Amino acid sequence: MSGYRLLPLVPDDTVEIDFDGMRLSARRGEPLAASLIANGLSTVARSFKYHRPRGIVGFGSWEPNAVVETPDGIELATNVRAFDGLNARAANCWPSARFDAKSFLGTFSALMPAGFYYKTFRGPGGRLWPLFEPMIRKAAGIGRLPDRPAAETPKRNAHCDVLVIGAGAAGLAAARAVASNASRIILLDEGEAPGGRLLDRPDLRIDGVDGREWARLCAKSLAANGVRVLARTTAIGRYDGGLVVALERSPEGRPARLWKIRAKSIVLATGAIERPLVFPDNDRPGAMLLTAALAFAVRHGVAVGREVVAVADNDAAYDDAVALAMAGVAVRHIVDPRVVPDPELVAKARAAGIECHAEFTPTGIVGSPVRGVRLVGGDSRSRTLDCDVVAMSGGTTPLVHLHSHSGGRLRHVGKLRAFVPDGPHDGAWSAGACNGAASLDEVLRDGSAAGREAARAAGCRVDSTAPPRAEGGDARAEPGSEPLAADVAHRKAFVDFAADVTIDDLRLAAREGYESVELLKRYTTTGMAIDQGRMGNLAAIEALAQAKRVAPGLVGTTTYRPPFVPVPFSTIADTNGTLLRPSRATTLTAWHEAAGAVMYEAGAHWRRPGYYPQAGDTMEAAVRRECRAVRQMAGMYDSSPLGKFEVVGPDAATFLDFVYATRLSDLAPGRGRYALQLHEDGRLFDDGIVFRTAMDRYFVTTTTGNADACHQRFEYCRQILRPELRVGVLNVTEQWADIVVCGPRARAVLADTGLSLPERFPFLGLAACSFAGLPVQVARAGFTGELSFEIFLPASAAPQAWRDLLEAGRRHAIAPVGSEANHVLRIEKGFISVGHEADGICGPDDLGLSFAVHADKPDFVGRQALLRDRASPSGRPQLVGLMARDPQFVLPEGSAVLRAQGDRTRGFVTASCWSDALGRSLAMALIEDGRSLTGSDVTLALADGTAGAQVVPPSFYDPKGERQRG
Amino acid sequence: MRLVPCPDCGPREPGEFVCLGDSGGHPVGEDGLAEALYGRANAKGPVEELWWHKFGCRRWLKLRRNSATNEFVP
Ligand SMILES: [Zn+2]
Repeated sequence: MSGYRLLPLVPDDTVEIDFDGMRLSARRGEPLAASLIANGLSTVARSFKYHRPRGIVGFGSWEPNAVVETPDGIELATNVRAFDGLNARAANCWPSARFDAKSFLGTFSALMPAGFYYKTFRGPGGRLWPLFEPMIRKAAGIGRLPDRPAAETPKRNAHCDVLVIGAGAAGLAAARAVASNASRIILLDEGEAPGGRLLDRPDLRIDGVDGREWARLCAKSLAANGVRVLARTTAIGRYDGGLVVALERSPEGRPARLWKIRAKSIVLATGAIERPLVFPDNDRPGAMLLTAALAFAVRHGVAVGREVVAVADNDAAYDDAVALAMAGVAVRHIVDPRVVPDPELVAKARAAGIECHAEFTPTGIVGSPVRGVRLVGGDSRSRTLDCDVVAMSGGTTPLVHLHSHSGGRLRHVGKLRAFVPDGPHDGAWSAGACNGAASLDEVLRDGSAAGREAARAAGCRVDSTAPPRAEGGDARAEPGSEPLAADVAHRKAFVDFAADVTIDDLRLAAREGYESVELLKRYTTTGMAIDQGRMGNLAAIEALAQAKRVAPGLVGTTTYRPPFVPVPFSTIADTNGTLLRPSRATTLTAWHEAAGAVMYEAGAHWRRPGYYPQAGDTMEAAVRRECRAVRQMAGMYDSSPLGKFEVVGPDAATFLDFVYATRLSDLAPGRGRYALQLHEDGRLFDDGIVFRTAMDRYFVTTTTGNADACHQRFEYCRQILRPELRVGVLNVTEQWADIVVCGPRARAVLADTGLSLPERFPFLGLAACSFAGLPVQVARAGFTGELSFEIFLPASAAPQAWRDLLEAGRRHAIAPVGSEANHVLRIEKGFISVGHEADGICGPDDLGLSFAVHADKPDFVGRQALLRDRASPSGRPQLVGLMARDPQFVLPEGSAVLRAQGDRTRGFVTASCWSDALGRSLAMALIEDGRSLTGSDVTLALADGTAGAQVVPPSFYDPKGERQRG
Repeated sequence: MRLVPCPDCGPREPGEFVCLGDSGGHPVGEDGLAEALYGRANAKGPVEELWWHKFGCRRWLKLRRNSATNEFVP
């Protein structure tokens, strides 16, 4: 393969690029693959498994070999564009594609049959896998990702009546069939310009003009009529209900935009790609697809070699070979395994100076890169033709992937030796070559018909002008009955270039019993590499069909899944700095960050402070200091993410009595109660304090993590279970900030801030107060077991109030407190935390919360199951406290609890900490019938040994609760 | 990925909704309790489901969906 330029480079258009350390001249904007061919490089890649030298085989997204690393990521050389300063290197090889250190693997390839890794490393008795896995993993995969993070790809949503995918002859005819001035139409195509295969065939004419000109004019008039025409855009997936995701690339070939298009109707005019022929050494650099050779010549002025031999078993290849010759590339011979090719086509080829050889089959390649092709004739005579390019054409593979993505069925067409869509599917009509149309006229008629169907289904008018017609005949792309050659004397005949799978691999797998096409795929890896088997799938299916002696239609295909072409993750992912999901900030988050807090993500993606380290602080020291402040002086924390709801209406009390297991209808206005919500299966769902603000109005707090789920439940109960109740629910989580001031000096801090509390303000009371001129609600509640005030105030006012409280609190040594300290304080008190102790398995009785269940109420969510649980209470996990025998040792959370050494697991540690207030470690645990074990010892299984602990009631600090009520 | 027909808001992206499926309802009485809590038909074909338009009108919808094709059916 000694490629060269048919059109010389002009200085204005010339750029310098770097490939594998070589400086090359290229034409600005051409595919890197064209530059490599034009510079005479034939070996530009190494194969995936055997590291065989490989050249360019395909064009556009149909390239199985040439994967390159660029600073932007891993890409196909056929898709990367040449621009000044482009620096690319061949992937999967070192130091370069031409000299690859792992090429020795090819020498051993006879020892690496299908399933090699499974058989050798994972087979019966095989204990080698753990040993070899790191090495195998390191050798697997293609290319290295760039060091720097990929730029995010903008996303764009669009809606239309008719979406046409593919702007070749069929797609253009389809788009034209919809009355464009009255409909919203999107037409997208992967190429730089519309036309598809028309671009490669100057001999084709439509409606009196050159096919290329027809395509250009057609797209232009569609665009003028308001059709959105997207170039360089590949549809990568089709999903239920007319959703198509498409990737648009920049002129430099980089991902530029991810489209999510909702269409009422879709026309799939994705065309077909050529199949290579399967014969020994068909992967040598210089053996490529005939249509790719033609596209490089016509579109980019690059000849793939000096002497081309076309090996083809279908009529269309004759036209392509003639077109290639007309473009100035020396096509010497056409070799055709069929006995009697169409004499008219043969005459046309001969007139173009091409010698035709019927009834000759390729049996091998001479040289690597290619120096010739070996043939055997129908009379068994062998001969060899000299050439530097073998242009293969084994019929076409209709691109049915988008049809199949969301479940469209396929049928096998014997004449095409291919699968085509079995009728339209879910509002998507296939048309043209992807639908099995084999000549240009068929393609145009099919496109027009699909366009009309799609328009009608979308409720659009149909264009009344006559559909386009092809002039003169063109040859049909129906292949002959392909001979599938065997590997000859260890010379490999490749079916799947990208996955390095040969015809013998497939036959071996079939012999070993992998007779389902899905198993065959996974065992041999055929179809699992970067081109997802586009090039080799049909040959693999035919090989299996032959081995099973059934028709290929009965073998079926594997499942096609998005994405249709390789897509960098960065184009799909939404990134938010270092976070995967969008995060939520309270109005105080900025203050916490400025104060140097270590921020955690907590329930529903809130960013909240874990602790506030001071200079040189460890986390332990910071947490101790914060705990001490709360227990001895004063602390304050931002509890704004807490779920908050207004429940309003004449039936608000009845409603809450139904939603909660706790009775709330007898609360007096201005009072609150700790209340539980259960699942219908009687297990604890959520807890919180519910305040009554008026006879027909409640202020409900839920846990942070369940705020959204509670909202959903409240509405479910209101709309579905109790629609007769006159009540409304409003989620005010984000409207109200919540600042908690707690500790023995809490009341003094509030007084110093100018917040006057009512004279009589009992524990769990709620009062409307005024704070710096703002109406606020203050509750005597908290999660620390100290005297505690929760100030609910408009979120926008929180930053000023926080600063005021901090300022007033300075005299009382107030400290801001994070969630780590809160965790310690609640363990000291034995307060449960939903998610830790309420894990979806425990009921209220298990957690010692029976006091908050009023089962005498006639009905509430979970009541029936709760009553049944109570009927058989033994063996339940029960919440207990644990005191480690070694008071200095903090039991690891999650440790298994055993009654004694050798016993089975009875439970686990749910929460554990060092407590400064008690001067020792503390833990909570859920243990089977745990309360009956109070006072006795248990054993904890640790990663390295065991530890002993005593079971105690789960409340360590101020068990009577005098401090919080004081 | 089909659009969900909301009577208030029109056809909307499924990401705006929470699908509860067959909720089992609110069991009252001992009879059929286990069935209500844990029994689901898992039928192929049209199924009745509850959908919540969380990021929309917040209405709970009772919709019929063909579980084999994902199409919403009247
Ligand atoms: Zn809605």
